[in-house]
Amino acid sequence: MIWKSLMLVTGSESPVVVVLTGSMEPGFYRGDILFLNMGKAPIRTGEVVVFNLDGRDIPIVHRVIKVHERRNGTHIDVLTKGDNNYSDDRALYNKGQEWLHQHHIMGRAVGFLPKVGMVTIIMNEWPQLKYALIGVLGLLVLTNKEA
Amino acid sequence: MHSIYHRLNTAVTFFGTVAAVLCILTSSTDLLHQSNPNIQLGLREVRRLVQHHGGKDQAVVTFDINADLRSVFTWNTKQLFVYVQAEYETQENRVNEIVLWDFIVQQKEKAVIKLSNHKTKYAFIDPGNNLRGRDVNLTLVWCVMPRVGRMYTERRSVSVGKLPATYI
Repeated sequence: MIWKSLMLVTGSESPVVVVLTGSMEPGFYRGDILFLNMGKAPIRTGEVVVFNLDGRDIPIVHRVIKVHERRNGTHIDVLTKGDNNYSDDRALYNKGQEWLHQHHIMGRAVGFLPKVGMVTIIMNEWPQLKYALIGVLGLLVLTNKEA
Repeated sequence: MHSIYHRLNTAVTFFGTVAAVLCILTSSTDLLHQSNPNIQLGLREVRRLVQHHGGKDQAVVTFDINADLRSVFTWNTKQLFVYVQAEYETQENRVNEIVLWDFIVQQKEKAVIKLSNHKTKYAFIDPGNNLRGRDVNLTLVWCVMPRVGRMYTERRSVSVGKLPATYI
């Protein structure tokens, strides 16, 4: 319920993301949580955006360093770079792709919470932990004596 | 009604709620913060203005900056991401923003930036042939990255006049 209302309010398909890599250190570390908002405001440099490249499903969170927006506002070229990376993201984009466009961008980071997302990273990297936790919770439910 | 499971559940929920409220309050203190940093920014020299294959103009420039950003730090500030960008308009593009140089400040004491005739970190390249005689603004932007809560940005812009009318 909270998730769906966050989706409505922020206008973004995924209003909260967990930072997965160290490419934005020292600002964001693995396990930090970012609150996203899409909004109608045009993309500008300095904004930390979450984008999905065509054909890949892991979103990347980096900062916009170049913007070229056409006069009629219909088209925008965006270049991103991780704060902790030496060069810009062209090496990450698909072959022959020089810029990101509006449809690649899923949201921009507007808020930050340190380390809370580490739980989801640990669960993903050690699935045994996930199963163990589900097992324990299941056991608790079954052995709970209250009506 | 007082099983261990129930007590644990209540304790954890209470902890979560208190933590969330504290985070929101902490972040809100940033709204009350006034900063008035002293900033001088200018374009020192246009060393080269060339055209590459494929018709892209590049300007090689140096800049001066004297910025005291210490007053921007609040108790909730983890770091400042500071950058200098060039802004200009062309026939085809209403907005062009190119980051020329960036810098991370993690401590208030280190927030004084003094650079003279400094080379840019990133290339000043236009996707077209539009840099000759172009009016350019240089802007200093700082992104305040909090320990917890809302991130925000502030900026100061300065007009640096026109780039050279011919390739050099």
